[in-house]
This record gives sequence, structure tokens and C-alpha cells, in this order.
Amino acid sequence: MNEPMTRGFEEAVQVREPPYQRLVDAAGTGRLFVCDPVCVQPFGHNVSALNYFSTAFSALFPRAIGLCCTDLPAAVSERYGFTPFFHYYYQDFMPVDTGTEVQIDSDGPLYADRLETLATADAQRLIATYSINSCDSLLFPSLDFYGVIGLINALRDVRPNEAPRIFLRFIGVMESASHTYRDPERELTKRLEKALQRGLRISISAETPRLADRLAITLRTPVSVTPYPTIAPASPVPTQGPFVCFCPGSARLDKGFLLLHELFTAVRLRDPAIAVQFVIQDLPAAQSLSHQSYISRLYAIPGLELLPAQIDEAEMIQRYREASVVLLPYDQTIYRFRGSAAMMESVCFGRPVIALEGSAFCDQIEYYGLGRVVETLDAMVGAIFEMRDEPPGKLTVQAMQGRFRFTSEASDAYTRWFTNPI
Amino acid sequence: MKIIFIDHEFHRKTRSSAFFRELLERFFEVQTCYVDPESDDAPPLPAADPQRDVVVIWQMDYLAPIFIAMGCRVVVIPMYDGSSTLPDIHWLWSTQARFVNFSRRLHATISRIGAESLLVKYFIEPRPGMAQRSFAKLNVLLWQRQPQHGINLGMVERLLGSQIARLHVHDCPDDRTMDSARWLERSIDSYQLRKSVWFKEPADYGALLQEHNVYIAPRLSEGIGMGFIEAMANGMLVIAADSATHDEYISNWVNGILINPANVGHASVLERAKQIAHMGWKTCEIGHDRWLRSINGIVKFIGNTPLPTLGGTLSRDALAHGLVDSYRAGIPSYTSFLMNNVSAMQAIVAPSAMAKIRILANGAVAPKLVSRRTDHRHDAVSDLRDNYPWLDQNRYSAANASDSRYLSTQGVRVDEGCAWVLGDGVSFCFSIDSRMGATSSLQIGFRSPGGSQAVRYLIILNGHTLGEGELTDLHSTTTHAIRPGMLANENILRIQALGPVSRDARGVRNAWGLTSLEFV
Repeated sequence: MNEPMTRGFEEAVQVREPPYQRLVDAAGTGRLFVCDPVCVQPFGHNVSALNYFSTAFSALFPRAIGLCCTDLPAAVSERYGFTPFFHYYYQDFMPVDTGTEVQIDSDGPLYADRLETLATADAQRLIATYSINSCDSLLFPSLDFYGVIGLINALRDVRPNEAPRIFLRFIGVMESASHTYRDPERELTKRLEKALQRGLRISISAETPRLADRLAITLRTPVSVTPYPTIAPASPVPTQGPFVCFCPGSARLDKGFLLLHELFTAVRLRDPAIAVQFVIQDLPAAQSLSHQSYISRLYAIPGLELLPAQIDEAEMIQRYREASVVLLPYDQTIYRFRGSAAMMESVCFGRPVIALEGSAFCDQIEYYGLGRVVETLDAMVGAIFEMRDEPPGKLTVQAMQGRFRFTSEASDAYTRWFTNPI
Repeated sequence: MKIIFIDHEFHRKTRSSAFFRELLERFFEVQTCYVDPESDDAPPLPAADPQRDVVVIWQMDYLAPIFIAMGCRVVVIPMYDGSSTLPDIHWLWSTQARFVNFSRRLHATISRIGAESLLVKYFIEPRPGMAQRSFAKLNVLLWQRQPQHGINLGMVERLLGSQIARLHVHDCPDDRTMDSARWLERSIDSYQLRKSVWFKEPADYGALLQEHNVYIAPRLSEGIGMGFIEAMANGMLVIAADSATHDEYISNWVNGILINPANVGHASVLERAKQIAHMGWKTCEIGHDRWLRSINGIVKFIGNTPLPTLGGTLSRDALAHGLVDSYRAGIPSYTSFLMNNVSAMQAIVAPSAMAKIRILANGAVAPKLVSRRTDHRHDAVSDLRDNYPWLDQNRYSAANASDSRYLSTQGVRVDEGCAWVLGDGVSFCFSIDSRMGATSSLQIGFRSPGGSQAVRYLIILNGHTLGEGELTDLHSTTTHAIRPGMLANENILRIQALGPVSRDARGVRNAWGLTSLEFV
């Protein structure tokens, strides 16, 4: 007789959360400033990441301060206790209605790029406002080009032994966000190399192993791997009702939005009972203009639910709970070195994922057993049906095992990163 | 709370809005007021208590500003077939209303303008016992409502031909003065043809749905599409024009078939008809369940409609007359009314909405430009426009006349599927979502004048040099890598000729051209 596959699950969901308490002994005695100049929109990854990083390590420092962009709506910064500090440098990349035109002091130091002038002034103001010294630590959990360049400029005349410790976490998104340089990421790493050579205490990590390895070669220094350690309540994969495929997060073309019609239609034709269903999020209104016919075609697929581009946190949690599997047909070029917040959330909610091969996070899926990596959309269709046909509860047990390994190692990674400064 | 439900006079008979009114009656006290927009007199609009009432306007969106000007809470339920061609400014005037949308496309438009919109999808309960209809033969039901638009007996014959065993034409055009005889002539004799006109009893129409297994959706587009939804619920194979709302309910060859009535060819449907029709019935089964689950959300959305904030006082009567008269006179006069009465618009459109947008000359609404190029103070390009159109499907084709909107250079002549460059170069201005970083290269199709001297060119995107080369072949395609960060939300692509360029015997510079651009 088969034993229930979920036996022991109750214990499994009690898996220890990252033991950051262990870091107490190792952490610095000064304050922790968690900096994210790109934290400007009330939705998306940055707010939740800044909230996480400015609270997860608060026990380790006398004071942890989350610093966001001044254009983040006040209601959001107040809710999370962020201090609005940085100007917004990325209108060319992510236009945001800031309501004010940025005034840049043209009599200040000369830089090739006016945004660099602005970011440097911000960093100088940060150091002066908080009297930041060598006891303090600055953490950029989702680092951006100008935020880091500005900080390095601001520390140019500070002796290394008087400068704060700097923790830079690469996620492969805003490191190249500059129009001024032919290869912005190379420009950033060259300046980091110089800063390291000068003796500044800079510790570097990356969200994926692939990105970490690449940076280590470029910077000629060890680079830690620090996945985004979402802490979310796990729940069993539903064993009753439809098998729900979920594509979380505001839709984007580089997340495979334009592949979904082909994928879902193929599933639908193999599943006349509509036992497999789909939940996806729409493109943001402004970006959907060019894709209206396509979105209607998606919306018409039987058994598909189209959610708005932005949903609140409670609904997101509910959708994860109702999901059976999370689909990640991400673009392999764009995500060659990048991680996926959706993958890490899926792990923590206890949901298996199916991803198209090629992205950096596929290495993690395979290593930790977080789901399947497939070569083609046809193979993804097959994997959906194979997962649906697994014995009840097996997906839950597999997902919990993956979650256990992933979150444990993530916490260890942060321990190493914080306690072994280069 | 009382709902004042304002409906089109026509629906008193067709009852196509009855399901929604009855839904409201389960939760609210409802007072219904019918309006005939075709009447010569201004419609008699009901008085409403702004503190207590919510005005729900079915279909006649243009009435919303009148009630907003009265300080009333307003919910609009627009219909795609009636309102999809109205300019953005039509929706801007009503951004202080809430919208319940049965069309995803309208929902997208209205959300983009800045109004709160709830997208819902209506399904009736699938008819028990109709999940697996027999499709040994095709028995087709065609309600000829708008035969002049191409959905008529001739089209059905071209589409299904000899597969038809029986065809019933319910000959009741929407325009009752229409002589439909010319659309009732058959050209194939192999099937049995029946005809009917208006029924005395609704049950007679219900019987037709059960006697036939193929339903031809009678109009090019729909507001909701009660007719085809009912057909799906009866296990029929639905064939409909490929536009909203049909294409929001029907996945082509999955749970129905979408066609272009203006260009219909033969389709072999007999083999797959049973499977597709069954999927349509299952769609209703799941869809009806979701519809029932969405009702609480709809009721909350309507009940929580906020009071509008008014920027000044307006004469309700003057506004009512102006809106109704201009609307009745046609879209151009209605658009002029909305564009020209700026002070009235400012009184009823929330300042927060106005602060974010620009109104263009054609009544379209675009986001207000943010000062983005803080480091490009000395932009030398003088012929740039200030609104960059979205680059549809990420490509430009010179063969597509409407794509000329991306061109931002005077010296270009578009002819024979090519944008011929008469001067030193050509600039394109377009918007694209730079965060959707799947774009990794730009493909450019060139035409060259040929001859002994090759044209040398340089390609610059937002100040980044993408590449340079020579045009030697008459037709060529080049591919250029796009690195992360090169594309911005609003973009300028410049293709610059590097002299000297060959000239003809009279010394006239030979034109060279572009046939296409595509970001892939």
C-alpha cells in the first residue's frame, strides 16, 4: 500500500528559516545603510527587496536604515520605514513620473556624465548627513550603476581605513544602466577594481552562480553567491481541483510573454477537459499598447485567467497557494546571468517551477531540485502533464526538499558574505 | 444605497442588459431610466442624490460627464462595438467615473487613460445535455443582422460549401428598413435552406439553437456577445469575425473559429467541429463559474465608487445639451466639443489625471513627457517630434503606409515599399518598452540605387553607434547587435549617409532607401 506522500510534510514546513542570529557575533558594531536608488515604484521587486534587506539583518547592527529614492510614493516609504534619499537616475530606462525636473549643479566636479555628478553629490550628502565612518556598513542589495559609481567617487578622498564597509550585490539588471559608456558594466567593474586596489573594504556577491563566476574573473576577487532569500509561508501543492500553471509578476516580453499563447494552446489541445488551467498577469497598460491583438488571443484561451499587471501582496500570496506549478519561459539571452525573483518566491512558497534552459537560474533549479529545466516549449508542455500526473503529494515533498536545501544554503551564503570581508 | 440605472431605450425590448440590472437588484435598490439617444430632444435625465445614489450608465458613456458634473458617483459599462472608435479624450472626460468592462480591449484603453476599470467576463450557464452535440452533418444557423458587412448567406457558402447539410437564415437585419433580398440568394443547391423573420416567442429562437450545431456570429464586433455566448452554452460550433469581443472569448480553432468576413475562403471544419464545440461548452462551464465568483467583486467595486472632486461649477443643462447634440452629430463634432471646452473638462477631470497626460491634436491622450535627457542639452536634431508613437510589433515596414508615423525626416519619399532617402539620412522616432529587454538585435532592410558607387552609411541609436557599412547590392539586410541599455523608452534611430553619394548624369543625388526595420 502506498503511504501518503505528504507524511512528514508538517515537519518539513517547519524547516528552519535562515539563522541570521548566528551573524550577531560576526557583524560590525556600526550602522547598516541599505541603499537602493532604484526603489522608486510602489510595485515590483525593489520595495520588497529593500524591505527584506533592511529588516533581515536588523538584529546584527545597532541601527539598520533603508534608503530609497525620493520619488517613491510617501505612503509606501512610510509604511516600510524607508528614508527617501536618492535622486532618480534612470528616466531613460524606466520612466517614472517624478513630477519634478532634476536640477544638477553645473559648477561641481567634472564628470563625463551629469547623472554621475548627481549620484556623486547624493553619496557625499549621505556620508555627511549620517557622519558615516569605518564602523558603518553600506549594503546595495540590488546594485545600480550610478548608485555605486557615485559612492566610489564620494569615497575618493577618504582613507580606506576610515571608509565604511561596502557590500555590493549584483543581480544583473541595473549594472549597465548608463548611456554614457560604451560598456557600462565594464566601466563599473573597472572602477570597482581600482577601489579594491586602493584598499576600500568592498565585498561582492551575485544573485546567481553564473554571474558570480563571471564577476570573479573580471574583478579577480572571490564573489559570493547570495540568492534572494524570500521568506514566505510554504503550503502543500493543491491535490484537488484543476492543475494551475502560474506565471507570476507583471508580464514582460523578456519573461516569455510572447511564448505563452503557443504554450497554452498546445496544452489546451491535449487537455479537452480543461483540467490544466493558467493564471497570468497582464503587461502594464502603457506597454501593452503594441500587443493588443496578442493579449486578446491569450485572454481567449479556455481556462486562462488574466490578472492585472499589478496585484497586491495578499492576492499574490493567494495565487501562489492556489498554483500547482510556476512557469518561467524566460529569455535565455537576457537571463543568461540573471536570477529570477519569481523562481525564488516559488521555492519559498513551496511550488515547483518549469523553466526554459539557458537562464542563469536554471543552474539553481537543477542543483537544488526545484523543478524541471526543459529545452523547448514542446518539452515544457510535456513537463506540465508529467507533473500533473505525479502521485498526489509528491510535488509537495519534492518542493519542500528543494526549499530546505535552497534556503539553508542561502542563509549560509549570507553568513559567509558578511563575515568574510575581502 | 440606490442605483440609478441608465439604459438604452432599445434594451427595453432586447433585454440584453437585463442580466446585469437583475444582478444589481439583488444587492441594491435600482431605479431604471431608459434613454433614446436618437431622439431629437435632450434626454430626460433623472435627478440623483450625490450622497446616496450611484449612477450606473449602460453603454451610453457620453452621458457620464453630465452626472460627474452634478457631483454624482458614476459607474460606466461601455460596449466595445459602440465605443471602441471614440478618441481617448472621450474617456478622459470620465476619468472620475469607474468602469466595468466586458471587453478587455476597452479595459486596456480606459486604464491607460487613467480611469479605474474592472475587467469582467460574462458567461451564461451551459445548457445541460449539450456538451457533446452530434456533428455528423453541419446544420448552420445564420442570423442576418448586418448582411451589408459581409456576414451573410454568400459568405457562409464560401466558408463551408458542401459541408452544409442545412442552413437556416434568420432574416432580421438590425436596420429594419433594409431590403435584405439581395443577400438571400443561394449559389449552392446541395443543402436545405430555411428562412425565418421575427419570432413571436423567444422560445422559438431557443429551439433554433437546439436544432442547429453551427452558429455564425452575426456582427463584426460585439459589446458583450450574448448571441455567440448562448450558442457556446448550447454546444454549438461558433464561427465569428476576428475582432472584439469575439476574439476575447474564442481561441481560434480551439473553442471556436475566427474569420475575416471580407476575405473568406473554404474551411474544412467537419472533422474538428465536435471537439471545438465541446471546448466551447466547457469554456462556458468554467467561465460561468468564474463569473459567479466575480459578482461580489463587481458589487464592491460599484458600491465603493468615490465621489468626484469638481474643480468648478458647471451648468448641467448646458453640458447635457452640448454633449448630447455634438454626440448625435457624429464623432468629429463630438471630439471637437470635448477638445474645445477646456474649462469644462478641467472642472470635471481630476487634476491628478490631467497632470500626467498630454492631449494630442487628434484627441488621443499620451503620457506627459518627463524630462529625461538631462545630459543631452545640445540635441542637434531639429526635426524631432515630441510624441513618439509606439513601434507596433517592434517593426517598421515601408510597405505599410501607416508606418510613416515613425519617420521624422522631411527628405524621404515612401514609394514601392521603400522609404527613399533624398537627403543625408533618415531619422525614426518611436517608443518601445526598454525594460522588455528581449530585443538583442536590429535588422534593417536596404535598397540601393546600384551603379558603380556604393552608398556608405552609419547607424546611430540614441547616440550609440550600431554600425556602418556599404550598400552594394540592390537589396540587402543587415543585422546589428543591441546591447542592454541602448534602447530607451523613447528612441531616435538615425541612419546617416556618409558621402560622397553617387549622382546621376544630371548631377542629381541618387536616392537609397529602407524597406524595413525590426528589433528582434
